[in-house]
Amino acid sequence: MTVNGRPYAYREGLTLHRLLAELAIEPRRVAVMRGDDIYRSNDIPDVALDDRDVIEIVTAMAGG
Amino acid sequence: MRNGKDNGGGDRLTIGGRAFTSRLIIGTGKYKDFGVMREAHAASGAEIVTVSIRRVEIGAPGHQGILDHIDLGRHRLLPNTAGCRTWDEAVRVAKLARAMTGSDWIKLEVIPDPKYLLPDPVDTLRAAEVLVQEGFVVLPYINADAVLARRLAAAGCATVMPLASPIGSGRGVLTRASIAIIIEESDVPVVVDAGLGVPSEAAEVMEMGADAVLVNTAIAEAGDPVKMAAAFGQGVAAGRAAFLAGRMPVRAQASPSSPTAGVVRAVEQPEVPA
Repeated sequence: MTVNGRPYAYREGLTLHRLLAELAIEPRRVAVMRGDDIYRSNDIPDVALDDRDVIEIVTAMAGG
Repeated sequence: MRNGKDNGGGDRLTIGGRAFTSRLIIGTGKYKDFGVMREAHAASGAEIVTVSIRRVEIGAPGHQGILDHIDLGRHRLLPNTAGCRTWDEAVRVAKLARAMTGSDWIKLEVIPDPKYLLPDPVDTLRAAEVLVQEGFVVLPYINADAVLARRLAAAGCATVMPLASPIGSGRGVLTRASIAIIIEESDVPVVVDAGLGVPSEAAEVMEMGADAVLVNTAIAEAGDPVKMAAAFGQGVAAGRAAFLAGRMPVRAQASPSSPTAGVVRAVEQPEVPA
């Protein structure tokens, strides 16, 4: 699977919540895109992931 | 809707059905630290601040973005699509921004050119059409092109945001004549964005009738960003007040301010009519 443009080691049983925990990412300040599905920070489901998943985890950064 | 000149509640900037007192929109980029940024935001009086949307850095715990450093009680977020080079990238980032911020507002930037950061008018229009259909309040960043501005307004954009000069250049109002046409022709608020270096340049476009300005680098890279933020707030307010007051006519020749009659002269001479 791919997370934020880089390959990520998929393991059987990996879920979206577990992935965020492994990456030490607080769901409170991120949005997640899995394929074409986009989830709000307060509304990220604990779905089972697939080894072909493409995941984007984004946050608000400085900008003009 | 344009301008919102006194409709009972004083002079307000209205964007996407929301009314604002301040006509200065401020960025969050390039500050040396979040403390200075926060103080500058407060000093500017701005009610709208921009942010970008980026991937969380994997392997950097605590990389949780900027929202904890913005006073969300005072400032409305305007996420941008900076970094997007095509219409479909911009649409995707806009959707992520909406999920991230909970706001339908999007500052649409489609910029394929890294040297001058000039926006792509064709992909900007296409992205705007898609995003308006998806329910976004779209504020597109554009070159100072009145025809494009009209097309974007017709597509349902909430504002148009013509550039004064290239992003972060501080070169001031290089597109003055084109911005004047956009101001004259636009049915939606005109927000002059990019390239302003000092408050007098913000005042200049506000005097011309721009509805608001967006400033980032000129404040963040100032010697004292907090003081400069306040100065831009004053420049914008002064320019707006001058626009509402209505400027004097320009004359080719001088027009004396003091009475021409009764001047005390060294030697008695017949008075010459002015």
